[in-house]
Amino acid sequence: MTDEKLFRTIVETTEMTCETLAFMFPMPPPEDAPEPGEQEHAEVARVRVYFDGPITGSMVLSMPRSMLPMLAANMLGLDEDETTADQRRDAACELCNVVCGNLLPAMAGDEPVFSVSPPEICDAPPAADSDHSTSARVWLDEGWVEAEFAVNEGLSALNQFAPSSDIPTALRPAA
Amino acid sequence: MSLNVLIVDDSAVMRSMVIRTLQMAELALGEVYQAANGHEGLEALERHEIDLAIVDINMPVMDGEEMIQRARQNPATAGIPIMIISTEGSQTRISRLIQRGVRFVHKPFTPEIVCDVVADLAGEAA
Repeated sequence: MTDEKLFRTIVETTEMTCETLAFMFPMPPPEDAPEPGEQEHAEVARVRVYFDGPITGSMVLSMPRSMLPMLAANMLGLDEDETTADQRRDAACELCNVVCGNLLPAMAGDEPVFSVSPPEICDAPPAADSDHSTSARVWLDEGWVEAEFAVNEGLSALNQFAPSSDIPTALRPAA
Repeated sequence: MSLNVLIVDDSAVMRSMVIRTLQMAELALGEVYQAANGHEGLEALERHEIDLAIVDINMPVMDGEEMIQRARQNPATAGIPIMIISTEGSQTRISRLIQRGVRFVHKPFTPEIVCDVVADLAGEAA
């Protein structure tokens, strides 16, 4: 799996999940779109899941906090102002859980069994604890979602199970 | 005959989405019970008259696979139709579950797919 293929896999999986789960549709980025990392830390909600299997690591899903009411409203069929803080948090967690659940077989093949931790809200910026990560931001009609996939162990397994033979350079151990 | 349904998922939002989907289906929906993990799900199966259980796999305390295994081993609950709604991507695990007589729907799901499978299982339960 090349870097470009890995990037495309993250983009396609995140877009498909946002579209099907939350009725949020992919859009071209606006001209004044902030670069990843530019948005103020306090304005971004982050959810993390850990996965354990032939590859071990974590995925962090980030999105503007201002998007959470619409996310919860779309998933629940409510108006934005009818949604509670718990529902908004739970909606972000479930979106993260579903993106990761679909990303793992897309990257490692459909045989390995993974254990995925319950999603949790996290404060740390993505991949703070890993040198081997890659991320992709998708733009939606309601904002953006960024998925950062970080591998701590099992890179050789990713090589073994991935549809093509190369480990993405973004996920290779540092020299 | 109305259909009593148990929904087992650790996400309250997902449980609400499934309930909303069931309400869209042209079924005579009876009581809808909810549980947040497999342990609570087993308790609900034993306590209530359940016609259909909709179960996630990846849950804390007790996962859906263990819950289904235990439900199938209990004569009182062994015959209850079960549908899994999960992100599970391992064909090995999915095949193992299907061999236990459950139906599988992948997350993210469309309402149409869930309604079709529920209609099938409701027919079996009738």
